[in-house]
Amino acid sequence: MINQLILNGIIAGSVYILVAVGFAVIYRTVRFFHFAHGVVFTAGAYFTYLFKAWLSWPVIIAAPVSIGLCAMLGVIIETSVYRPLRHKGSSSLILLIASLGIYIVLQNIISMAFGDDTKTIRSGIVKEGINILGARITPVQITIIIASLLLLVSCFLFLKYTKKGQAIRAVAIDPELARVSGIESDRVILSTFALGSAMAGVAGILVALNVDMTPTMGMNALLMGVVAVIIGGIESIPGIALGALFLGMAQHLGAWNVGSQWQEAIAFAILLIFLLFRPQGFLGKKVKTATV
Amino acid sequence: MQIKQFFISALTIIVFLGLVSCHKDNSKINILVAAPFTGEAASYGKVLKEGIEIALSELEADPVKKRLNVIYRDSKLSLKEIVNILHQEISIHPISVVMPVSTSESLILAPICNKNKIILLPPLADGDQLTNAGPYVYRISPTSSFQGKELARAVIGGGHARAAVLSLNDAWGTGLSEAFKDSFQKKGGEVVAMEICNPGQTDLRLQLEKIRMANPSALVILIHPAETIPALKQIRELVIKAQLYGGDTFSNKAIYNEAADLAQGVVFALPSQPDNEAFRKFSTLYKSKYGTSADINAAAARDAIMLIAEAVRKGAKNGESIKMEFEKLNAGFEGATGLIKWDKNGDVVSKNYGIFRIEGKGYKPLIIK
Repeated sequence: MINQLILNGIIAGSVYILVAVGFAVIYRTVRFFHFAHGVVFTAGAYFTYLFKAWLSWPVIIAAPVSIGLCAMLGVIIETSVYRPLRHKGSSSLILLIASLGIYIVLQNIISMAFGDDTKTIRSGIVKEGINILGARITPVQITIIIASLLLLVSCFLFLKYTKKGQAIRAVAIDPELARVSGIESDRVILSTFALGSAMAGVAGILVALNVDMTPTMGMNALLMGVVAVIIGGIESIPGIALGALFLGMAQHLGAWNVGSQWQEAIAFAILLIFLLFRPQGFLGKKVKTATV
Repeated sequence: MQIKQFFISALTIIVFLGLVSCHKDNSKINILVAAPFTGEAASYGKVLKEGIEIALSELEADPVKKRLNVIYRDSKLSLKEIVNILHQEISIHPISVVMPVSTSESLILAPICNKNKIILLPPLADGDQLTNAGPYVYRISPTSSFQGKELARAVIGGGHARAAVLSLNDAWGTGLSEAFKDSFQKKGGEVVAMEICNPGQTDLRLQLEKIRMANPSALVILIHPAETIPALKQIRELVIKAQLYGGDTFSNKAIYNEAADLAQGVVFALPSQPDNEAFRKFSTLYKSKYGTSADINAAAARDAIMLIAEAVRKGAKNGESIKMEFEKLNAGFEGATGLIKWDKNGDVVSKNYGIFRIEGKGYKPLIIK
């Protein structure tokens, strides 16, 4: 029993990692709550459904195309809405409201196009999960764990050791200084939207393969991702991974004792505790401000 | 002087137009259908609308139809939303009848309806909690206690003495699961696990793992199609071998579209389909309009409209007089869902549930010994 709970916690944590890292990469450069990240996650699932169920493409082809489309969707959102607003000097609050508007509009478009019923993109008959020490795990869940691990490491190495990654970090730390140093912040932000949105697309597809999809699936995933980011510390990719795994474990182990319907309440209780006692998260650093 | 006259004339016209537009058309019977047309429960709103549209097409040549004004509003299955909708509509025009979908929605609307003398006529709501909701509440579907009893009979009849229940965290889910538990225990069965999930929750592995650990021989699933579709898949993946039973939600087409292979053999309770002229006519119209076999829930929505039409035909002009006509109609109204006869609480006492088994893309009646 405990093996199954731990495994479920790792699977949930892996999904949170994919959403959280994508969200954090974007947030660090633009510094506002990008709500529409949730609908990009949903779009990943529905693009795949479109190609798989309507056009009969195999998932192995539909998934990469959908991930590409999600990256493109993120780029379109940035260039058509956020960038013009930023250039007009709009505050983070205005950008947040705009992102909420995008979320609602796109979610409704998905509802209108596909309906609100639960849709599934599985192919073939559903098989019994593989038995590992008494716990059951499906091939899709193994893929979720491996994909989140690979993307996490790739993202960490990309941000730390590539020129583009360093530019992203520079814009995240001080956009003005980055601009003076010759870094085009608009291009860098565009890259982060493409990267973060592609990661959201991967997460959306894997979640849909695991537990099916509805047009509203993105909001809950986004909220859990954000909780993982806050618990882990937004500045640290390993911290976010730790936060996501901790959150997944706590939800499953905690809900075993207090009731399954309290999983979300457990997540937000942990969030409150962290905000009150360790707002910088597991591996985040306390920011000291000084004025001259 | 001319300018002054012009302003006075303009003001008079504006005031007149304002009064005309504010005038409430009392000749119409306004029926507010506040159902989830978007969101995870949208399939119920769709079914409700289908049944209502069939009813209106049946009334096409009837002068009563001109007096019925059906107003569709999307409740999103949100309690806050549905209360706002009712208040908004009451402020615009006199509402005579409200038709929500769920037991929870009906419970929250009942005090407002009773106070404003508006008939509350939820075609699908079957929760026992509605029994004492007030004098203006009438139903079309028999109550959960009937369904719970019938399900318990089916599970015991299937030779299962240990059952687990997975139900929805709302008034319908908790009411029905309790009704099943009571009946099942009275028949000598043991409920070894009772798990609940939130509406819209698609990852149910935690609940299912708890159920697997309890090792039941039957699993009763009392959740909506949005949760049922992923649940059926996860039951297979977690290797839960229990015989699956379910509530009336298993008649919903969404399950057959997305998970028919996983639902094969599920035994579930559903209000019995009558063998009468009204149902045959409804079935023909439904098939020609929507291309599929008739849905009993759509038939319930059809009956709700037909009941109102009958009351209006006999002279009812508002909620209060519709109630009076309903009391007279209570000698027996033969609808597409069968004979509708209410007790003093507005609960249907003339119908029962049947047991069905999913086979292929549909379901067939099952005889329980």
